[in-house]
Amino acid sequence: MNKVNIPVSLKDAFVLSIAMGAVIFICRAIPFIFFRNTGSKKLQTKSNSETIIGFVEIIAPPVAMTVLTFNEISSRLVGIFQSVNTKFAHLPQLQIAGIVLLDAIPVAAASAVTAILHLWKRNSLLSIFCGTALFMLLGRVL
Amino acid sequence: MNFQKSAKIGHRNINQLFAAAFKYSIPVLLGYLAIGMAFGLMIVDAGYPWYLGVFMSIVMYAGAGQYAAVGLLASGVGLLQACVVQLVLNARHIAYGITMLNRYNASGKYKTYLIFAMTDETFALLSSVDKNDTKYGTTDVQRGLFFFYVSLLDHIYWIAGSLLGAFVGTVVPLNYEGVGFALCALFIVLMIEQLKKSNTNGVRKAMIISVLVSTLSVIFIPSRFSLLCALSISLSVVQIICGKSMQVKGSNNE
Repeated sequence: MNKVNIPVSLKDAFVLSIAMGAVIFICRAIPFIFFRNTGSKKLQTKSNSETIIGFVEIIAPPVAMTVLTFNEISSRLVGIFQSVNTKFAHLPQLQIAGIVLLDAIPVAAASAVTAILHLWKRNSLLSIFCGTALFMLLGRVL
Repeated sequence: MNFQKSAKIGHRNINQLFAAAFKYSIPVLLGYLAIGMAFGLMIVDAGYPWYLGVFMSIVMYAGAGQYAAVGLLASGVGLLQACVVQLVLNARHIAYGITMLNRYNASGKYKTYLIFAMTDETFALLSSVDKNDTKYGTTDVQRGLFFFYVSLLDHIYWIAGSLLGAFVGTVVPLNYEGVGFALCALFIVLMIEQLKKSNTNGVRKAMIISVLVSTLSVIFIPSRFSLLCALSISLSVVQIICGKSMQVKGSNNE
């Protein structure tokens, strides 16, 4: 495994990692730097900024979770569509659609089972374990 | 914030909080071991030693960011380009930070580490903590310690995952395909928890908008930017459509 040609030397890779880590930390810290003095300095705008942050606190978590979930699911589906489309480009359209539908079954079924199981039992570990197991099983069978 | 209530935390409480944090973070344990292993495999595959992968998991600690970093290293990028890519890729964390502003500001000495360790999954876990659940601490200090434990445990899972991936993955070539779905399942579960926690008209409407926006953005926007775009577009659309009705409480209940 040491024979692979690496364009970035190990030393540079360490430096790059630290730099990228710093960028990521800054992204996470921006709101805490930016909103540090709200409330204490500008008393007259305090109530206004509080309602904005209050709104964000109520509405942002469900929005963020929904976006994360459907970004993940639809990325998987679009990925399946693209790979089938390039791999079987010579086949007729209808057949491609059939293959896409078949390949999409694990994602769709496992997501649905996870959701239904969780709505029913509300046991996080159970839902995640069963959904993942079904996904792995269907991926091998189909 | 105020620390008036910050009495000393007893040993019993510390142990209880740690146990609660461990139990609470188990879903991420499964997800992180899986995708951490995938990352460990990738970095060794790209021709780097295992300790670079572990080092990256310690100092970067970002799922999507580290996956992208392997690609960046393999294509031989310069410092500036690497930083710009990470900036775009991780800009979504700004939205997470705004959400956790009050909660992290109240957590005292753990604040810096909590901000550093705010990954997608840790954010998802911590933003879902019920404010009134005494199991997760009653005072600001206890709540801060609980947040710290969850963040630290997640970090450890992630490092362990990359270590395992770099070692075991290459020595024992089992078929791990599909384990990464655990993360998708975790997102689904946490989304449903959010819905069950605040099942108001406004939240339902906001979630339907988010579904539409995120699906469309995956189809029409390059994958590197789709998550960031979906997040910012969803939040703005929701703010425009539901903003007023959410602030005037009661008017959105039928």
